[in-house]
Amino acid sequence: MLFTVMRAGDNQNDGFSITADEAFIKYSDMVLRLAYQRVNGNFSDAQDIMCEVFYRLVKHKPNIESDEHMKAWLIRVTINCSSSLLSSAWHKRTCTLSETIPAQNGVASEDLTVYNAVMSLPKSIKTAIHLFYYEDLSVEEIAEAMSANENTVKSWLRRGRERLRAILNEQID
Amino acid sequence: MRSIGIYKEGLKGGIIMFKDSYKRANDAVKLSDSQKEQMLDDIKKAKQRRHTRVLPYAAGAIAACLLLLVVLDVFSVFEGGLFHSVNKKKYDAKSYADIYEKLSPLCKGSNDLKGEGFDKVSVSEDMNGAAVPEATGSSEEFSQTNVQTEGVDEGDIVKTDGEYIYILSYTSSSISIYKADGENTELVSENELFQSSNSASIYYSDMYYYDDMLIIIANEYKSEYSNFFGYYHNVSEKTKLFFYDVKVKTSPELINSIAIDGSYVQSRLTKGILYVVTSYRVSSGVKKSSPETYIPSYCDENGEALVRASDICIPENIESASYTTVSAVDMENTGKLKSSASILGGSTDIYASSDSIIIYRNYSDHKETKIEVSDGSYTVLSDNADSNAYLYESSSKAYLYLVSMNGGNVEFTAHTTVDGYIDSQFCIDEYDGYFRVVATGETYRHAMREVNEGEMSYSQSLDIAELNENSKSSTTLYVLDKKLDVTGKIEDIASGEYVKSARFMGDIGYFVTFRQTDPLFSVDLSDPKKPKVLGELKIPGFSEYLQSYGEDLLLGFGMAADMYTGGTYGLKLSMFNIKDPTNVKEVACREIRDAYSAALYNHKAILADAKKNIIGFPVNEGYMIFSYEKGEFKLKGTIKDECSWNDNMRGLYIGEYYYVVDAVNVSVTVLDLNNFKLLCKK
Repeated sequence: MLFTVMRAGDNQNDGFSITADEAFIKYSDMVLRLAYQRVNGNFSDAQDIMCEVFYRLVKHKPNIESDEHMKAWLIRVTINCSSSLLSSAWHKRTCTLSETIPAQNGVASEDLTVYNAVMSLPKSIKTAIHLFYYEDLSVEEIAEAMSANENTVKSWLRRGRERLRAILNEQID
Repeated sequence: MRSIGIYKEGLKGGIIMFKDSYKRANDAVKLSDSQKEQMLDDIKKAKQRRHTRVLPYAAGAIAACLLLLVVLDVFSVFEGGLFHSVNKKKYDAKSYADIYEKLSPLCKGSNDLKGEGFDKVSVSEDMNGAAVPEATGSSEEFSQTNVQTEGVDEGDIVKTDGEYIYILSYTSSSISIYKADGENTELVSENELFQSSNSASIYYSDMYYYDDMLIIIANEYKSEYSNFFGYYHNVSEKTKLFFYDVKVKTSPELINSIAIDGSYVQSRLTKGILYVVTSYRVSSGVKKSSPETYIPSYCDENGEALVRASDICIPENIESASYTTVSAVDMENTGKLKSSASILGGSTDIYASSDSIIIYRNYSDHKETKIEVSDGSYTVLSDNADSNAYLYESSSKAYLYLVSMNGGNVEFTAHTTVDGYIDSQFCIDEYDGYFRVVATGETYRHAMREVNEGEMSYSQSLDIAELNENSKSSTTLYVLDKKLDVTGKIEDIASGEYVKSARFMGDIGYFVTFRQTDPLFSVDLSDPKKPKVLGELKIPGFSEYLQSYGEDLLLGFGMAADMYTGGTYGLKLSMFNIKDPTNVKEVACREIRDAYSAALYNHKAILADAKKNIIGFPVNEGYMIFSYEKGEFKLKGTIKDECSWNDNMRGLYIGEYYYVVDAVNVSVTVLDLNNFKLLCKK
C-alpha cells in the first residue's frame, strides 16, 4: 500500500481562522476534482457543485477549528451536494451515466485509462479510492467524511483495488 | 507490501504506478484563475441577494421541481397511507433496556458513532433440492439468474418468466417489460418507479420475479441540514420493498410495500419466502426512555413497529452501535413481514442455502507499537517512549452469524469468529448439516513516521525490508457444525496466496488461490472432522469464478496472468476435468487479451449452461458467447454495445433465442440460439 496518510492530531487549534477567500483559493481544486469524479466527468455539473459547496460555506459559516477540519467539512459537503444532484429527477432525465473523458489537454492516454477505470467504479468505492490515493486521506478520515464505518471504507478500498486490477491488467508487486 | 500498478504488455516501461497516473489525470481537472475569480464573485453576490441556491442552472432546477411535484403527489399519498401512520409500538421496555445498556457505551459522543457496512450475503446449498420457481405462461426452456444455490433465487437487474423480460434500470428508475419473441421481440411497457423527493434519495438495486409479481428492492436515504454541524447528513436509511402485480404487462400495479430501517445488504428468495438482510446504524441522540432512538423499526400494512426485544440477539462482543436485521416476507401475503430478527453487529455479505443464511463480516484487528528505526531495521519501544515512528500490525478476521430460516420464521441460532477474511459468498457452503468456509488470513505490518510540515501533519511509510517479508497471507478451510463450532480444518493451505474463487460440490470442494500461478485445490470433505487436500493443479492465471459444467467438468472464469511476474493481461476461460479429484487436469483454456469483464466479480453477469452448451459474459463494452466443443472453447458470437460499465449487461435464453440485455441503455439484442446469428436489437 502507498502510505502517505494525512493524519489529524495537530493540536494547535486555538485561534484558527480562515476566510472564505483563502479557503476558496486553497481548496477549490480539491472540491472540483472530487465533484468531477462524483458526477461521472460532467464538468459543468462539477462546477455547479463547487459553487454550491462554497456558497454553503459563506452562508452557514460553520465553526471550523483547523485546516483538517476545513478540508473534512468541504469533502463532506461536496459528497452530499453531488449525491443530491445525481439523484435529482432533473439530472436523471438529462444525464446518462456514461462518463466522458476529461476534456483536458496534455494528459497521457495511460493516465486517462487509469482515470476512467476509477470513474467506472461504483460511487462509494471510487470516492474512497479518490480520497485515499489523490487526497491522501487516512481510512479514518475517509470514514468520517463519508459517514461510514472504517471497516466499510477498508472494504471499499479493497474492492476498488481488486476491480481496478481487473480493469487495468494490474500487477501485484 | 502491495501497491496498485498496471501492467500492459508492449507499453514502454511496462509498469505504471496507479497513484502517479491517477494524480496526473486529476491534476488536469482545473479551472483557470479568471474562472475562479468569477465564481468567487458570483458566490458572494448570491449571498448578498439572499438566494437560497446559487446553482447556475436555475432553469434546470425549476424543471426538476415541476417534475417532482408530479412524482411527489403520488408519493405523498403513499407515504401518508403507509409510513406516517405510526400505530402503537410493540416492545418490551424491560428488554430494550438491556439493549440500551449494551449500546450506550458505544454511543457516547454522537459524532463518534460509526455504523457497520455490509458487503455481501451468502446462502447455503441444499442438496436435497429446493423447489425451483416454476415457469408460468411459457412451455419453452429458459435460463434464470445465475445463482449459487439451486432453488435459492438471488435478486438482479434482469429477470424473465420465459415469456417476458423484466429490466430494472437503476439509472432511470424504471422497469421495462419486453415480450420475448425472437425477431418480433418488442417493448410492452416502460414504467417509472418512485423518484426521490426533496428530502430523500432512492436507489433501486435488485428485482425478483415470482408468480406474476415483481419485487423491487430499493435503498432510501434522507438527509437533513444540521446547523450544529454545519452540513447535510443522512438522518435515516431505509430499505424499501415494492411488490408489483404484473399480470397486465402494460400497466404493472403496486400492490404492497414494506419499509425496513437500515441500508440494504442482500436478499434471497426460496420456497415462497423472501429474506432481506439490512444494516441499521444507530444515529445520535439515543435516549433510554425512547427505544425508537436505538431500536430498528419496520413499516408494513399494520403500521410501524419496532423489532421486538425478544427478536434481538446480543453477542458477547459488540464493538459498534449497529444492527444486522433479517426480515422474511411470505409471497402469499406481501402486505406484512412474516418475521424479523436482529443481531447487534454489522456484516459484509451473506451466503444462503434453502434453510439457513450465514451472514459474515470481515474486519481486521489492529495494533500500534512505538518503534525506533535505524539502518532499515527497527526495535520496539515502550508506549511512552519519545519516538515519532510506529509499527502498525493488522490481521484479518471474520464474524459469522447463522440464521435459521424456519420456513419464514427467522432466528439467529449461532455465531463465531474465524481467522481470515471471506472473499465472497462462494467461499461458504452448507452440505449435509455442515458448513464449509474458506478464508484468507492476511497479516500486514508496516512502519510509519509522523512528519510535521507547516500546518499539516502527515504520516510517511518507512521502508523496512524485514516488514515486507513479514506481510503474509495463508488459506484456511474450516468445517463447522450447526452451532458453528469447528469440527475440522486445514490450515496454511496456500502460503502467500489469496483465495480467488471457490465451489463446493457435495463431498468435494474446489478453490483457487492466486499470487503468481493459479493453484486449483481439490479438498475431500466427506469426514467433517478430517478434511484433506486431494490435489493441487498449478497453471498460469487464476479463476475468479468456478461452476460445474456438465458431467466431470468444472468451468473457471478469470484472468490470464504471466507465469513469472503474476501480471495479468486479459480474461481467461479454463475447463478442468474433475473426474478424478485427486488428479484434476486443465483440459482446455482460452485467453481474451486486453479484456475485462464484470463477471470477474459478479457471478450474475455470466451465464454458463452445459445443457445448451453456452458460456456468455460481458467483455469490455460488449458481450461474448462461447461453447465448449471437442475439448475446445469456440467463440460463437460477439455483440458490440456502448455499455460504459458492463456490469449492466445480462444474457439469457428462452426457447430458440438468446437475449443480451443492457439495463442502462435499456435495450435487448436477439440472437438465434442455434447459430448465434444476430437477429435484431430492440
